[in-house]
Parts: sequence; structure tokens; C-alpha cells
Amino acid sequence: MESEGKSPVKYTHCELDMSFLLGLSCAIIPFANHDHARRVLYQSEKHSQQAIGFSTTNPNIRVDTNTHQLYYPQRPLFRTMLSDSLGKPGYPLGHNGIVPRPEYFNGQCAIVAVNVHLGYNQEDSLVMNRSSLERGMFRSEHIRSYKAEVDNKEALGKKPKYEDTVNFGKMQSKIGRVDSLDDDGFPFIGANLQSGDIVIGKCAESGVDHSIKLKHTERGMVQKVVLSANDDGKNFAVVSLRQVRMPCLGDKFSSMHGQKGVLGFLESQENFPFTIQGIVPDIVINPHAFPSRQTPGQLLEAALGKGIACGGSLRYATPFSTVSVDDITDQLHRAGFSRWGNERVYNGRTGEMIHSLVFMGPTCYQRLTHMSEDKVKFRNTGPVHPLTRQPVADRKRFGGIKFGEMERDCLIAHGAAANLHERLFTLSDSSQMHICRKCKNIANVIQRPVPGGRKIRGPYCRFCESVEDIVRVNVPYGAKLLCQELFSMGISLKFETEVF
Amino acid sequence: MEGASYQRFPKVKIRELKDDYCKFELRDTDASMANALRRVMIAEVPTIAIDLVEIEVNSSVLNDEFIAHRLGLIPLTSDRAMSMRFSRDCDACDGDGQCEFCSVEFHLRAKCINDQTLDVTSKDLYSSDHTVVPVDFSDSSSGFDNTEQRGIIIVKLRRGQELRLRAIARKGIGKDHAKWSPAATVTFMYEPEIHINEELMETLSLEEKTSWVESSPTKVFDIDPNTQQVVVVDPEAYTYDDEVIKKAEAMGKPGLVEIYAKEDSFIFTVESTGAIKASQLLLNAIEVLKQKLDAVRLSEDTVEADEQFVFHGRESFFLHSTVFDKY
Ligand SMILES: [Zn+2]
Ligand SMILES: [Zn+2]
Repeated sequence: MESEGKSPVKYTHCELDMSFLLGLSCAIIPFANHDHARRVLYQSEKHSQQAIGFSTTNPNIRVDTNTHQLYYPQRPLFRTMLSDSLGKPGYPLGHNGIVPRPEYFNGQCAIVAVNVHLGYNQEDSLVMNRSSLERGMFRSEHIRSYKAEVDNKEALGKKPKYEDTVNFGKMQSKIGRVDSLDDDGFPFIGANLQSGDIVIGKCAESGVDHSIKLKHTERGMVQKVVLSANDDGKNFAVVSLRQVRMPCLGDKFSSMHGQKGVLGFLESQENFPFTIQGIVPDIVINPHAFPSRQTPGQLLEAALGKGIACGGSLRYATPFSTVSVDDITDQLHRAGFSRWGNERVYNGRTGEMIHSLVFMGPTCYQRLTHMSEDKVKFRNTGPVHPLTRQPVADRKRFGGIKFGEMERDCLIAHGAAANLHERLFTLSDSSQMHICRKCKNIANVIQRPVPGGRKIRGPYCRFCESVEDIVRVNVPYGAKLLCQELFSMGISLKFETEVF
Repeated sequence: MEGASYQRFPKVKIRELKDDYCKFELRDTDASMANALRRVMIAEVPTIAIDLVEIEVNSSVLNDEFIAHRLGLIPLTSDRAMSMRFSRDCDACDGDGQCEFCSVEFHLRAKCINDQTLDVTSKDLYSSDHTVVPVDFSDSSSGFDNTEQRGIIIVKLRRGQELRLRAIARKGIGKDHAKWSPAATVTFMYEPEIHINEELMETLSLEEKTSWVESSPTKVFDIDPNTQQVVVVDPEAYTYDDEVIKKAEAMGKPGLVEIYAKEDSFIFTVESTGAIKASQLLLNAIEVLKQKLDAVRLSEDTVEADEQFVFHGRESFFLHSTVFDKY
């Protein structure tokens, strides 16, 4: 306030870098300050959690229920202040002179083109280069572990009843195949287990089967079998199954800018547009992903990445202290590329030059854990709910997909009555019941004596005490259930019937 | 089917030829031919690659599938590939792909017995056929005298770890799996034809000329130090990026330069993975292309030519659109 301003100010605290106001998952986003906050949050809260990377260096001695590992994880081309700052001080140099740094990025550097591709990248889907994937890009290993316990007889001290002792072991099971199991009840290492197979054979002395079976979507190769015991007097076994997955249609990917998309088409290398240098994109994303989402950070990342890949010296993409757009364009220009990252490409199918320039550059892309293989849902007939007799919903129980009110509205609007009838009745909980046409009440099927001492079974109206004029009608079981429940509360529904 | 003949006589002029690199001009033909050649080089020239791996022992850190995939991607010398049979239509072994006419067997045995990390590389693969071996990059003519290099690394073993396997290599094409593609890079460009409007250029000051020349990211133009005229130094350095045209417009001098792409003249760049020589890659591509044209001509000769052709087209479409999940 006063003239003291000239004396040096003493600070006790100092912000080392502007990006340090952000957390780890946010401060490693390149050009985060250029993106819409919503998109930055998508990346730092959601996608960074779901990205498949290389989360541990000792996967072979771990038994996680479910883990994923990327085959060829890469560090992105750009660097940020935070990714450089964190690390163990005094960590010795690696054997090839590279300073070891912890890895925060879970992705691979893909050459991304912003272009349309035969309509296969509409609405946030993306087209990928099949040849790149065959060469190992975004391949991942998935390990799932199954655990089973038995009582430890020595530890328990007391002798349990003979009938109840449960042991690991192979037995001819009625619930699934046991071909891959050894006599001890565990599969051999390298066994290829398919859905429905038994992973761990376990049975009681009485012959009751306690085996653990693979669900209908699960399969894999046996990676390891671990036998151990815990302090609760249990012996347990863990069997890990491994699966290698190449990206396939429907798998989810995301850049570091909240731009997620699912794989819509796998195209061969020769069909992609190629540059004069022969570069083809690994991923083609739709230009419509940018205007409304406001993520120019991704474009800057690609442009900067291209300059770095060509040996440029500007490498930092730290939020809030990023290099200027002019510096990036100058770097690209020096590297022999068009300033704005656009490139002339030739149509891979015809060889003709494409009239417009295409923006292309290396971008860090993440493979997310949502994969279509884990989500496919299909059934023709299958289990029904015991109460409603309608198909069950759960995927794990081989259920169906709900045809809800909105879908119903849609079919009504189309006037597709027969289709609606089939969907909601024939293929769902079709059933029949009896109605007495005289009193319009439900006539139940009962067993009743008839003159002559015999008993016969058939529909009978207890109101009219007769079997005459009873008709059979088709109703959904849900409707039948409803009137039975109402009946039990003393409400009787009356049915007006007509011959159809 | 008479009338004017559209036959042309394309010319090839080789500019640069190395074992794994080739640059040539292709003239007097059109984009369809040039592109067909490019596509065939990438996707349809056969090579040999490991296709089946039987692992006996693997105590390395990488799982079996990982190693099998890495083995598949190792380029093998494939000069024999053109004369070899596809194992799917091999008569000698009824298509199980294990006979000498359609496959080559490899063995790998490695065990680390001391504290030094052991690199298992492509040189540890022993082939049953001396003509089909992993590509050796160390003694290529590229001038790399790297004595340290021991081939392509497959996996690293620490003390006590072991890898023992048998692998079968088969003939295949890049369309089936990228590991069979012999091409690292195949690309072409249309030869540019650059006309500078000298009159308009003379209206520019030296400073303007310099900034215009420097607007091109590649060195296409330069200023003659004596006459201070803008000259084209390397037309082929032009990447059709339109930067100089935009710059001329921004300077208020549209039409300063006119650049056309010659429709019948292409400059190819071919880089091979080493499976076959770059020159052989081109020759094989032409051979494959001829075979494909023969197939079209044959089906044309049949009575129901049209139907046949449609059928063939459909069939091959289904064949190639199958999702291959090989390693
Ligand atoms: Zn009645
Ligand atoms: Zn054979």
C-alpha cells in the first residue's frame, strides 16, 4: 500500500508451476487448458481409470480377480511438467543411461487422421487400420482368477462329519466338461478352457458337486494355479485364466481429451489414404467430433506430436504453460510439413489425389476396458423368471434384452401390431386360462368327482357350479398373475370374451 | 469387342536401387495401374512367415501367444515364396500345412544359465531350410557396421528361464495378415509440373520473394544469388500442400505459380521389410497382377461370363473379409 513496495518481498510458499494446481491425472493431459472443462474431467476422472496400460511389473505373481495389460504400452511423444517432476529422487540410472521415470500414461501413439471413412466413423465411432492391429497395436492380455476354498482338516482340529467334507478333485460332473482337469481337480497349465467348462473341481464325500464352472461368456488359457491356505482354517486354490484380445468391432477407445469412440470398422492398410511419404493412419476419426465438444487440445497434441516425431525440440504440452500455436506451426514447417498439420493424401482405393487436405498426426490413444466381447448379449430361448415367466434380464444368466415402453411406443407408432404381439406375448410369457362365459369369472382347472365315483380333471366354474360354456383364452402370464393376486385379496376381475 | 486400342506402353526408369529400397519412375500409364501396383505390393505379394507355433517350454515373462505373435512378425527370406504352395491348397499334405512343399520348420531352444540377461533373438531360430531364414540386417549394404546387433529380439530371459519351441512357417499374403506383407513402405506421387509466372514474379521485391520461397515447407524453390530470380530447384520436393499457392494469394498475387500433377507420371518409393529385395518385390507384384488379370480374362471367356464374374467377385470378397485371428 505504502512506499514499502520497493523492499524485497519475502515469500514463504511458491507455486512451482501453474499446472501444479491440477491433480496427477489432469496435469498430464496435453494442452488441457485448451479443452472444455467437461472433456478434461472425462479424461481425468473416467478414461484414465479405464485405460488399459501396464499397471504392474509383477503380473506373474499376482492373483487379481480381473486385470488387463497392454502388449506394447508407449510413452506419449509430448511431455508435461508433472510427468517429468514426479519420480524417485536419486533413482539410479537405468542400464542404458535413460533416467527411469514412473509411467503415468496408459496408451499408444497412433497416427490419427481427422477424416470421414466410407461412413464407418459416424457418431463417435472410429475406423482402425487392421494391419496395425495385426502388428500388435492395442493388443492386450486379460487375466481372470477363480478362487475356491475347502476346510483344512489339520488346522480345524475337530473332525467334521464324513459326509460333509469337501475336497478338490476330479469327478464326472453333470454341470460341465472336466476334460482339462487333472486328478487333483485343477486344470493343467496351458489348458484351453471354453465357456461351460469346470475350472476348479470340488466335491463332497457324499458325491455332491461343488465345482466352479465358467460362465457362458468366459474362456481362456490357464496361466497359473496357486494353492495356499489362510488363517481361517481354509485351504484355497486360485486358477488364473488368460485371454489375448486384439481390438474388435465395438471396443472402446479414447484420446486424452475426453473423445471416446467405439471401433466401427477394421480397414486394411492398402485402402487407407496415404501421404507422399507412404504414411497411412492407424485411426480415422470423424471431424464432427470437434466443433461441439470444444477439444482443440487434441489437434494441438497431434500437431505438436508430429513436430516431435520429426525431431523437433519443443516437447512440452504442460497445461497453462504450453508453447504458442505459432511455435508449433513453425516447428512443423521446419520439419517439412504444412504449418497447420494438413497433408495431401492419395485415395488408397483409386490412387487419385484427394481434393482436400487431411489433418494427420500422432496422438496418444487409450484402449478402455469396455470391450464388446464382455458385453455381447444374445439369446433365442433361455431361462425365464419363475414368478412372471418372462425372460430374465441378466447377461450373466443368459438373459434377454428388455423390450421396454419406449420400444413399445415405437412399434405402436409404426402400426406394427403383429410384431408387437409377437414381441410382448408370443416370445415372452404367453399362457392360457379359462373363463366362464356365464358369470365372466376365471374358471380354474380342478380335480372333481363326477357321478360314477370317478374323478376328472378340467376347468370348472365354482360360481355357477358347472362346466358348461367355459372358454380358453390366451393371456400373458403377467396378466394371469395379476388377477390371481387380486383374487387373493378379494377382488375378482370379470372377463368379457369374444370369439376371435 | 473391337474399336480403338487403348494399349499403352508404360516405361519404368529406376533411379535408385538398394536391397531394401527402390525409387523409380513409372510413366505413360494412369493412376489405376500405379495404384494397382502399390496395392499388390502391400497386400498380395506372397512371403513366408511363421504361422504355427508349438511351445514346449516357456518360463519367460511373456506368455505363449505373445511370443507366437512376435515370431510371426519376424521377416523371413522369402525368395522361394512365389514358387511355394499355399498350405490350404497343397496336395502333398492335404492342407494340414506340415509338408516340405508348403512349410518350413523352425526350432528355438534358449535357456539362461547365468546372471547376465539373455536376449533371445531371431538368430536363435534354426531353420530346416537354408533358403528360408530370418532376415539378417547386420551385413546389409546399408553401411551399418553394427557388430553388436544380433537380429530381432524375441524375448529376454533371466537366470533359470527357458524357451523351447517348434514353429511352422507358411506362405501367405498381406491381405490375410500383415505379417506376410513384404512392404514396409510403398508409395507414389504424381510428378509435379511447376510453372512460375515470371512477369508477376518480377513485381515482387527480393524480400517478398524470400518470404514466398520460404513459405514452402520443403525446398522446392530458391532464389538465384546472381540474378535474384526465383527458380525451381526440386519440383519433386513439392508435396502438393498448396502452401505456396495460399501464400501467393495472401500476398495479393494469385496465379504467381501454377502447379499441375502429371496424370501419367508417377514416382514410386518402395521399401522392403527384407523378406524379398525391393526390386524383386516390384517384379513379383507385376507377376501377381498379371495372374489376376488372367483370372479375369478366363472368367470372361466362359459362356455366362457376367454371372461368373459376379460370383468370383463375391467369393473373394467373403474370403478376404473374414476376420483372421492368427498370431
Ligand atoms: Zn360361472
Ligand atoms: Zn503341404
